[in-house]
This record gives sequence, C-alpha cells and structure tokens, in this order.
Amino acid sequence: MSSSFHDAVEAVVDLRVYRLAALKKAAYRVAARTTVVITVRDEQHAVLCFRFPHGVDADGARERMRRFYEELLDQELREQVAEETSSLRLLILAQAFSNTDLVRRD
Amino acid sequence: MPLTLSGPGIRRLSASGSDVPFVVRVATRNNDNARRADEVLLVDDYTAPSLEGYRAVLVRAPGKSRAYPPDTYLLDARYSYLTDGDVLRLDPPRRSINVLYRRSSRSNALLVTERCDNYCIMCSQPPKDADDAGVVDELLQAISLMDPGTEEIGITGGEPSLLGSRLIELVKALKQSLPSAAVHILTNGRGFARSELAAALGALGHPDLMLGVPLYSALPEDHDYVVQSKGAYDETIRGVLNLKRHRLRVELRFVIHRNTYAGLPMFAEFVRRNLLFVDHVALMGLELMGFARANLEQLWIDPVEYADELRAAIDVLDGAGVPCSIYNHQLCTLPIELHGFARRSISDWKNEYVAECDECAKREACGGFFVSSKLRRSRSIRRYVASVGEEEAERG
Amino acid sequence: MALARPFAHRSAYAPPPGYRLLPFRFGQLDHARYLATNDVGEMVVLSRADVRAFVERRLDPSSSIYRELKAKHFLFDDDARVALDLLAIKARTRAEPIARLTALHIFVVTLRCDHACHYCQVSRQNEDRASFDMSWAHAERALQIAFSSPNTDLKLEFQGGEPLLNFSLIRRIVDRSLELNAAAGKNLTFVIASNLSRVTDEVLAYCRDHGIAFSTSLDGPQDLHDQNRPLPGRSSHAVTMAGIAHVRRSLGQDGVSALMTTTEASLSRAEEIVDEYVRCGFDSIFLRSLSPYGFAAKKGLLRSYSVEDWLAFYRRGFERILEVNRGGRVFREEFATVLLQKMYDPQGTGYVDLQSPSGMGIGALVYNYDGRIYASDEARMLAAMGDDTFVLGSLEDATFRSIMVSDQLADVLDTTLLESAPMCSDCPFLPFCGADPAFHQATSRDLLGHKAFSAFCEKQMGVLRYLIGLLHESASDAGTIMRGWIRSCP
Repeated sequence: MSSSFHDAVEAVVDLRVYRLAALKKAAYRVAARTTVVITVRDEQHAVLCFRFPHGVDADGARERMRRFYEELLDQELREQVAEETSSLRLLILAQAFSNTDLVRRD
Repeated sequence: MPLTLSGPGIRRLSASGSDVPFVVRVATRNNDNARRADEVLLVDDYTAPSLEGYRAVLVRAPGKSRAYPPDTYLLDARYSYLTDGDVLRLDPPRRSINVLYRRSSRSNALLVTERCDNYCIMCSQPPKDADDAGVVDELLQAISLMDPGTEEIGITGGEPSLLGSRLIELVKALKQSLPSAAVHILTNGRGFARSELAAALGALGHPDLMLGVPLYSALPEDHDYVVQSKGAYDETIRGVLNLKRHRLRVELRFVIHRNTYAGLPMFAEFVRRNLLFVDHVALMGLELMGFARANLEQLWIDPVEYADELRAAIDVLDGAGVPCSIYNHQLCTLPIELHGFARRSISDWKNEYVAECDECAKREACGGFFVSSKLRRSRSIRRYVASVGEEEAERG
Repeated sequence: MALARPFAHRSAYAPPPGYRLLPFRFGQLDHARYLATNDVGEMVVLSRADVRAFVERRLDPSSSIYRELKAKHFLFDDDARVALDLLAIKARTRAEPIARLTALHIFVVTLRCDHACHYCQVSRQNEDRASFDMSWAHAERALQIAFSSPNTDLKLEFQGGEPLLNFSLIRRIVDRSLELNAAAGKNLTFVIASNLSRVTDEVLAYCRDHGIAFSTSLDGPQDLHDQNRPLPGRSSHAVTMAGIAHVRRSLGQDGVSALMTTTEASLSRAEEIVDEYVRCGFDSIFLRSLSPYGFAAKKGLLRSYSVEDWLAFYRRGFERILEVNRGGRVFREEFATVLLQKMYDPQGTGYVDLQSPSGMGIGALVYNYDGRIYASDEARMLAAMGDDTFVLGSLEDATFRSIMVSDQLADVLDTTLLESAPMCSDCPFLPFCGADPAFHQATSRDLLGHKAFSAFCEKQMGVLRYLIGLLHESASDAGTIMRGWIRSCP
C-alpha cells in the first residue's frame, strides 16, 4: 500500500554553485509536478522546500525531486550561455533591424 | 573540338616588322574598310603586292614572292581555324599569337590578369605574379574590334577584382561596345568585400551581368584550405553580400573533388539557409589542368563515388527553389534523376568526345569531356542505348 | 612544373583555439537526446554531454558535432565573423513578414444557421431572426479598414452562423472590394466558410466568376460527422458530400477545402478520419486540437480527455498520412506543415495562430455581424463566453490605424512576445512555436498562462518532439516526405 507523501522535504543548495535565477526558473518549470519554495538563508545558501500533489508516494516524490535537480543543472548551464551570448544577440538584432539596404532575392 | 588559342604561332617573313606586341582583327578578303589599320589580312599565300593599309598580313603558306610588306608573318597550321572577325594579339619578338576572341564562339573570355589572391589546390590556371599593367589597355582595344552583335563574353583570370577600377572600365567598355553581350565574370569575390567596388559595378547598370564566385564549403577551415588562404571564406561571403546589396547577379561555383565532395550536403544546406538570394549554383567537375594535374592523386575521385552527396545537395537546392546546375559531368557518370541538371558547360575549344560517345543515344544532350580528362576517366563511361520506347517517340 | 609556392597542409587552416558561442536555446528532446535551436530556427540534435562540452569549449574542431554547430551558426571564430552578418540577415528575413500587417479579414455576415453542431463556438440562433445579420453600412466600413492594411495580400473570409444565409451581403462586399482593388492593386482572395447546405447553381456561378473558394467542415466518416453535427431529418455528412460535389462541378477540384473539429469521439478514429479525407479527394488535413471555447467548454468536454489522448490521436493520424504518401499520393498534414515552415522557410509561416508576438490584430481582424471588431476568430469565441479581452473596437468609429495603435492591441502584443515570456524564453522549441493568448485567457484568465500548467504548451511540445524525432530518424523516409510538403507549398 502506497501512501501519499504529505511531508515537505527540505534541501540546502550552495548559491556559489547554482545561481538564484537558475533555481527560480527550474522551480517554475516543474511547478505542475512539484511545488518548490525557495528561501535565501545567507549569501551562500538557499533553502528549498519541496511539496508534492496529493496522491504522490515516496518513490514519486524522489523522482520529482530528481527531475528538479536535472532541470536545475540545465538552467545553470543556460545562465552561463546567456551571460556569454546576450550581448551578441543584441548586436545581431540591432544590425538586423537597423539595416535598410536589404540583400534581396530578385 | 579542341583548339589551341595561344602560344608560338607566327614567324616573320617580311624584312621588317613590329618589335612590340599589337592587337588586330582578322579580315580574310580585301575590302574598303577604313578599319584596315586595325586589321590583319589573312590569306592562303601572299601573291598580290597591292593590298595596302593593313596593320599586318598573315599567310598560311609562304608564297613565291619575296616582296612582303612589313609585318607579314607565316601562320602556324594550328591556327588555321582563324576567320573574319576574330581578334588576335601578335607578339612578333616572341613569335607568339594569342587568340583573344573568336566571333563564332560562345566561349570567349578575356583573361584580364594572371595574379590572384587565392591559390586553389586544383587551379586550372595557376596564378603568376606577372606585371600585367598593359593587359587591360590591350583588352580595351580588342573590345573595340569585336563584333557588336556578340551575345556572350566572360572575364576571367587570375582574379579580376584585383584590377579595381580598371575592371569597372572593362565592363563599361563591354556595355558600350557589345550592348547585346551577357557578361560573366569569374571572381573569388574577395575584392568586393570592400563595398566601393561592388557599388561602382552596380552603378554601371549593365543589363546582363553575372558574377561567378567559388565557394567550397559551409566552413571557413575547409574553404580556406582549398583556396590556400586564411580569411578567404570570410571575405568571399562578404563580397557576395555586397554584390547582392547592389543588385548584381551572383552564381556560386563548387568544384567537386576528393577534398570537397563530402561537404556537398552541408554546403547545400548552408546556401539554403544563408545565401538563398543567389541567382544560381553550379556544382562542377574537375578540369585536370594546372595544379589539378599536379595534385591529381590527391584530388581525383570518380563521380560515381559521390553520387549520394551530389543527389542530396541538388535535392536541397532545387527543393528550396535555387536554380542549380551540374557542370563538366558526362551523363553516364550521373544518376539518371540528375540528368536534367547537367549542362553542356565545357568551352568549345577544349571540348571533345570519346569512342563510346559515337553511338550514344544521349550524345546531343551530353557536354562531353575536357581534353585534359584523358588523364583520368570515370569507370562508368559508356554509351546509352535507345530503348524501344525512345525509338518509337523519334519515329512519331 | 615548378610551383610558385608549396601548398600548405590542412592543419595550417585549422580553426583557432577556442571559439565563441552564438545565442542559442537548448532542452530535452526525449529521454536520450537534447535539442539546440537558434533564433532563426536552425536546429541540432545532440546528447546532453555534447551540450556541456560545447558550452565548456571542449569540442574537438574535427568532430562532426563541432562542424555542424559551426555551419549552423551556434558558434563562430575569428576566421568567419561574417557569421554575425549572416545571422542578422536571417533574423531580419524572419521578422519581416510581421511588418506587412493584417492580411486576413473575416466578415461574420450573419449569426443565423440551419445546423446545430455540438461544439459550435458561436452562439447560433435559428434561421428566422434577421437582426443577426451584418448591415451594409458596417460591411463598407470594414472594407475601408481592410483596404487600409499595407499588406499586398488581402484575404476576405466569410463566416457565420451559415454565411450563405446572407449571400446577398457577400455579393455586395465582393463587388465593392473588387471596385476598391482596381486602385489598390492587391492580391485579393475570397473564401466562404460554409456547411454547403445552401449552395445553389446561382451562388456557384457568382463564385466562379469572382474567384471565390469554399471551406467546409468534415469531421470524419459519416457516423462521426453526423454525431457531431446533427441535422434534423437528414445526414449532415450526406449534405456535405453533395455540397462538395456540387461545388467541384462548378469551381473545380480545388474549389473547396475542408476543416475538421476534434471531439472525444474522434480520438479513437484517427486513421478513419484521414481515410475519409483521402477518399473525398482532398490533398491535406488539419488534425486540429481541442478547443476550449463555446459549447465545448460549457459542457465540460475539455476535461473529458487529456492532451496525451490527443497526442496519441495525432501520431496515429500522422502515421496513416505517411502511409498514404508512401503509396504515391502527396497528402499533407496542415499543422505539421505550419511547423515545418517555421523550421525550414526563411520567412517562417503566415499562420496567424502561431506567432510571436501573437497574430491578433496584426495578422487577422474579425468584423462581427453586430459591429464589433475582434482580434481573431478565437477572440470572437471568447466574447461569446462573456470575455471581452480581445475586442479591439467598433465598426462605428474604428479605423485601421486606430486599431493598430490601440493600447489594447499593444498590451496583447507586448505580453505575447515569447522571447521575454517565462519558460518560453529559454525553450528550444520557441522558434517553432507561437502565442495563443485566447486559449490562455479562456483557460487561465491570463494572456500568457503558466506554461507548466498549459495544455497548449503540452500539446505544442508533444507534436514538436514527435516531428523532430521523425526528421532525425535516418532510417525513416518520414523526413523526406515531410520536406516534400513544404517544397510543394506556394
């Protein structure tokens, strides 16, 4: 018999490894399956509080948390990519939309 | 039919003659033309001493007369094809002749320089660092002698854009003297990375101008290796963009050999995504001259080995609506579904057919061979036999 | 022959150490693979390990993944800074169609109807109430607005109720638009969305002479179609078949196209629905998703089946369509075609309902029988449910300009730019997706919705994962078939 996992699970995350923006975005993405409440404890640490919908058992909860961390890794990578490329994106779009002499196919 | 267009070919018969090169048009019979001063009279043998006023005389066979007018030369039999309207450069001290233009040919091209800022590993016309300052002036003179009804003419080299404003001068002269001629410039495009040259060319408003630009890969490292020049890819594409900004027609040319064939599908995708506005793409077979001959082992590949890549590339380009063609490939070396893209692209003077072609049902449609292809031929060369259905169609 | 200088080895032209990343998005494609896309819709399928190696500059320049990423402008180096120029041109090309503004103008000429379809998205009235017809004064004002759009293409679509019940107005509108077009010189097309029960020879003669085509509803085989669209005393399927034949006799095979509506009953019959379209001589089908509007929402039909059920339906229908193509007949799935255009066409697609920012107003305008102007077809359905979020004005006083610069429209466009929306902004499917503000307004009272809870997002990602998976299955001919569809598209 599996019982609903009603408890909240807490975990601590090192903010020097995972940006706060990455945490928030990962939480946003998994919101339908897990509720993650983020609290910043100090400069280096954030506390995550996981809650699960009714009917999810312990295995299900573990799977959802695993999925959250997977997403967090991706989000952290995305933040890094954004850091390196956002100025280039602006440059490219600026050129795209300031260009009055188009290269046209006749 | 293969022809020799330049090389040793004249021997002076007269006592005196020019000690500098000069440009003349061929005339084969006496006429009252006031242009005699720019013409060379071409006769079988020189008998009549009364034909005055021509710049020079060419005889096919030495006659009995010893009283040749100045600048009378014996013409080598290799040049017996010359006829009215052809334009020559004669260099008496070197005894050489250069056929700049044949009125009956659809393959005339002006060689404007032998300098080039690329150094392609398969170049059929290897660059030379010659001082060619006088070439453009001679060509301008030659243009003024060409048939005004000329329908097409090319500009080639070396790299024509190295001429800068003199290239503009040449195209302007073509526009004025040969108003019906479609002009095709072969260029690596790098000189047009500076927008001024592209702007100047665009401003001429030539009614029928196309620039053929080689591009050998989607990737700079591959292209730069083939043309042996770092930064060439970047400049070439910038050149193409500038040319299109000034509403000039651009064709991309991809020479297929062992070092480029694998990149054909990626190249086609790259063109489809980034250069969809080009007017034509030509996928070309190798001409085994110059560096291509020197690097034969490294470059040669039988076309049947890259049939898949070629098919994939044509599929992408044709599917995207880009006009595309296959040049310099015999039909028997191509998958049948690509035959519609093959063109008779080989210049007449270096074009020939082989024994298998004699009874081939597709001979008329096929472009045949480069003379230089003797060195290496595909193992799939064979004649097509007309099927029963085709024969019936012919009867009907 | 002595060479002027020797040839350098390939290694002399190798890329410089290190490379620069170009802007891109990435995410999971399936359990084994990731998808990376850039702003202009180029895509690379790769492993997560490769994504990390790519970002961390550990890719070997001779590897095929490096070469693919470079050719598709996910990375560049100092040897080819022209990549930036090319990306700018591509970005411009992709965005350009937005500036052409509204091409689709829908005229709801009457709300009267002779059918009683279960899922009808607009409250329909029975036939004898003429106060549900559009007035000529309003129609004329609507034409003024339509012809003020700068787009050189103008498509006038007539809807209802059953528009043929007010054919005299359609005729007046078409005549007047042709007059206006003599000066305007636009590429003008006309479509009547009809159940075809009222098609007569007289109607068809006019349509033939004025280049008007028809669009009708076909939900599937007879029993399914009749179940959805009951007609007292008759089979609506039989009426539709007779109508299609009648129209084709006058206007030719392409004189009528068909649209389906998906209901719970459709979900187990994907193959039969496709077969029915093939049998009727159509060359495409739009496997539509569930609609949250109108009677469907009121009767709770939306909750009766899940997105997963619909995706299974879609995949089965698509498989059947691939089989039809393998048999030698070119038959397209329209939704996939829209997505494929976003993937492969430099200008993307003009499909109004999948744009960023949304196509509301700037892609389509709906002129209602009662004088109200809506931002889209869905907007009208939403209004019928009591939500006026997407009413853009009134035919009493609006002009094209006043609509385009209205705060209302600006708010919608501003909010629906996916590039700045949460979750969408870093989603690899973004270039192939679009906003559906009406759906999100209907289901969550918010223009964007929270995508983690959005059935629209779940559906979009489900279809895109499926199609991109097929395109990258080298052993399958599905990719070749699909690319053939956009090749044959005008």
